[in-house]
Amino acid sequence: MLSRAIKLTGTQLAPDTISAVGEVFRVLLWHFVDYDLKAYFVIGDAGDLSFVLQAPGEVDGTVKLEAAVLHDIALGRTPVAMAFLSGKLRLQGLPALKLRRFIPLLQPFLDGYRQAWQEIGEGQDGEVLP
Amino acid sequence: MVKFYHDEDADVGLLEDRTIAVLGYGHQGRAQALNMRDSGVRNVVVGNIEDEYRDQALEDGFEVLALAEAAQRSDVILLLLPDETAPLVYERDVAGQLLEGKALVFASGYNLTYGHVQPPDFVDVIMVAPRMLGQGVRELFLEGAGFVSFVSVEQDASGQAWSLALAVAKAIGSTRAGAMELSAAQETHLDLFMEQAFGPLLGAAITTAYHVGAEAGFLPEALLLELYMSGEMAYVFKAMAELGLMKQARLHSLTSQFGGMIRSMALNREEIDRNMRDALDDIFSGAFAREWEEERKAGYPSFSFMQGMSEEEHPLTAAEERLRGHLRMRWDAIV
Repeated sequence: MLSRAIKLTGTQLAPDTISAVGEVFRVLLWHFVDYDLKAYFVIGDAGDLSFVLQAPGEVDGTVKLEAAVLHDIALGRTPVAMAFLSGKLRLQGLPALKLRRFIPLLQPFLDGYRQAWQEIGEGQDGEVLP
Repeated sequence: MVKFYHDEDADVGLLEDRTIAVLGYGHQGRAQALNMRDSGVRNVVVGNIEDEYRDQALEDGFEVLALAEAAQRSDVILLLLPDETAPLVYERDVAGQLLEGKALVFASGYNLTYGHVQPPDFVDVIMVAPRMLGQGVRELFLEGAGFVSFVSVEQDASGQAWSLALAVAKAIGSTRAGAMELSAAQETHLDLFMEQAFGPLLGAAITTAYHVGAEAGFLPEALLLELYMSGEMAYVFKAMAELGLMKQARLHSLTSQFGGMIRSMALNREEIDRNMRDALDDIFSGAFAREWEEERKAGYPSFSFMQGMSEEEHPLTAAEERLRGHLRMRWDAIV
């Protein structure tokens, strides 16, 4: 699901945008606390995006949240601001100025997630990380 | 050593034979132009593009000119424009109109500090930076009260720049309370430090208290009253300014003092300290200014996303609305 979401994300972004993000971080750990799942968002040398389960190198920062929260944000059930302010979505180790480069990836990623969810039929009954 | 200037140190008469241009008739521009006129400065013209602020300036009885024409006609040019707009206006409308004997007055040191505006060496370069929102600058002037400013002379080409800086500070009503000498760089760094180190913590403290409290079962309206909507917190801040941060604690109950002090001592400040130092590093090195400039050039993609986030529906905003419907308060009586 995440792999498909990130593939779709890549198709929505200009190579320049991805390269700009790649200048400040390459590996971002997504820690889904409800599944205790750690997935690594990686920006490759060629500006390609992927999610892998083994850290390919030093982690530049961490996004910590429940998979259900990501699901609700992507499907528009929870506003992003609400998730941040309530502490349900936490960023750790990402300096503020690096964060600026990361933000343009957020909306395409949420769109990619939503599209991936639709592709698999919206039918996994509560399993948000199939 | 800290140096303050008051009314008796300044002479508005120095502005008598000069034409003063206020470029930008926004919150600060309007307040400062009106205050100067009410202080007896007769030759104030406004430079503004054709927008609603221009209409307001005309309604207020000012002669309104195109930006370049206002700069050309005047001896003292106040650039009261947003930081992100000022460099463009300066290059396009002001730089070509500068002659020996003219003075540039900035209300913020930002563009001077980071080199976005680089005036020629034959003009006076002054900063008069009110520590007050534009609306407050006008209201406090009309009340006969004052507001504090930071003032500096960044370049004294005429040999009269300090007298001119203080004349402007007095004309806008700031020397009533006191104008403190502070360089443009210090003003900029301090301003950014407060915005990026203190402000986010205050906001985070409020929103976290709201969410934790609501989750614990407190009524949102009651939480908001305690946090800021009763006006008690504004009153506490006022007491801090009047009595001092430590002494105002005596105004609170012993239970409040004990609980607050013991929790304050137990607070883990390491991360707060680190975050503040990180912010300062980026401010001092110019990294923040460079990122912000890149963001502007890119068309504000991240900023727009964050602004959109702040406009999303939030239970706190809905609770504020409900609460306003119940309250019959005079906010101006509190602060």
